[in-house]
Amino acid sequence: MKYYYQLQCRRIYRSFKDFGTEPFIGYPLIIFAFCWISSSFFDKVVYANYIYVAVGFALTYAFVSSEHIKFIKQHFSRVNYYKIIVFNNLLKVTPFAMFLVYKMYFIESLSLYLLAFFVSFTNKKSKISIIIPTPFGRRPPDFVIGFRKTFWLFLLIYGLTFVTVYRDNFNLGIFSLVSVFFVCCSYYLKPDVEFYVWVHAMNSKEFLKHKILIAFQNSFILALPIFIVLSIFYLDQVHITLFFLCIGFLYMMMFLLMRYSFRNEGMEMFQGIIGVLCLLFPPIMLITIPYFYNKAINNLDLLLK
Amino acid sequence: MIYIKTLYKSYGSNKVLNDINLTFGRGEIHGVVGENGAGKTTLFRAISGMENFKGTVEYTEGKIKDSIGFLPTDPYFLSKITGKEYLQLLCNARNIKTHDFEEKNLFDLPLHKYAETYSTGMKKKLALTGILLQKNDVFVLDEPFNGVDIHSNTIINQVLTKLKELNKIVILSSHIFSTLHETCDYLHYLKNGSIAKSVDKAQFEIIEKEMQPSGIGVKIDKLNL
Repeated sequence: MKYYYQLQCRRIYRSFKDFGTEPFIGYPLIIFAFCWISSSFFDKVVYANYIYVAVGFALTYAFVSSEHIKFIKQHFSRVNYYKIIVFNNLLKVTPFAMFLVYKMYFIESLSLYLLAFFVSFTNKKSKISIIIPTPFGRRPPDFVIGFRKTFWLFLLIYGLTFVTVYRDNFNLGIFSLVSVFFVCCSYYLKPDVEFYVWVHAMNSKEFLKHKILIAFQNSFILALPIFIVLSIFYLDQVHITLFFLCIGFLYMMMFLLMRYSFRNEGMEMFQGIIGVLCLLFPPIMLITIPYFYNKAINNLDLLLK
Repeated sequence: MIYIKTLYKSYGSNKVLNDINLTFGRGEIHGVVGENGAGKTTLFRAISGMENFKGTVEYTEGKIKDSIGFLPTDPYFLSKITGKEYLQLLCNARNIKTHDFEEKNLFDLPLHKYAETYSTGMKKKLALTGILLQKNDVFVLDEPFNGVDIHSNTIINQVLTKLKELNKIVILSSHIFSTLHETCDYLHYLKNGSIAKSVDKAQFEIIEKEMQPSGIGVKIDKLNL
């Protein structure tokens, strides 16, 4: 068990190194960020103490890898297995529990520990195998995967469109339209797997054109209900709706090109920063889109010669 | 025909492939054997165009990348993609119009289920089905029999025979000599990144003997089992 925890420490250390950060800088930064976010949370959210317990517990549970649990179960005795699982869960909720103590919420802190303790004796299912139907099955994989992971967000977004009409708030409608493209852009955050690029009988330009066309068609399918509602109820402002639709397409194209511009993982943060800048000032895309296009072509040429 | 001429590959100072010269003809099945780490996968990736290298891989029929079906040792499947969608993706990539995947489901796989939940053997069979549906002319199969059940092994053998009849070029690797005997016309022994020996069917046993580990008994004794 001692060696198991030594290995865990080494893994964390290596994660910092792989990320390009020295651990002695990374640790204090993470602690500072955690305290700052928690403090802001308590300042701005009503019933923060209860929600904080829920968030802490949910995050802890989400970070439990069923494969890791399987590994421990396989290699340790039953007693040691439970010792490790319980200790791991208690350790994970400790930052949240400590912050609750700092805020004088002792009962909530204790509740969090109890939740973490009892969840150690439940089984987490390794893979959810419910097949969520998508309208994109003919042209996999990006939208098929993305839609299955984010379909619940579309229920919320379409709900917002309903509120738009109900409350007569056109801006809210535009927000829901932009949200569709935001969600779709997230499908292009992770780099494509080498094999799934290589397998295409296309050159780099054809490949990008093919990908962009699919992205446009599929995102339009998802944005169409909102576009129709806004066009019917706010016909006099249809030019604004069309403008944001075009911005959405450009935004998508930029994210897609960024995906093929960076060959390594861990660039999500950088892509996010570029995304926020372009959202605040869309004309930047006139520079970023051609730049990322050329960079993507250079990268793809290595596989699609 | 595929002509591999003076192919070299290295990662930094680590030489992985060294002066490889091979010829693969139509209607021939070639086996590549070697110990783990000998460079088989790197050679396959170089032939497929997934790896940069020094030297040439010449394909007389056109662009090799667009005619090659590559079966990796451990096929990677994207999450939340069903078996059918995987096959659709592979067909779309080569502009093949196929819709009835159930009819072409050679191994009776549960195509409506997520591919990531498949067993090791099922994943291999799905990946193989995918490259067969692509109507490729060249097949590079990295350990196609690995993790696959006996019944499917028989099917794969029959598929290989069919590919040979159809005049396709097949290059495969395997650690099971009995299957190599059954399927291959030629065998190439890759040792430390170089082709140590290339033989035809009549001489397979020479390579088999050469690959027999020597002094392994002493090593096992050292484990104190």
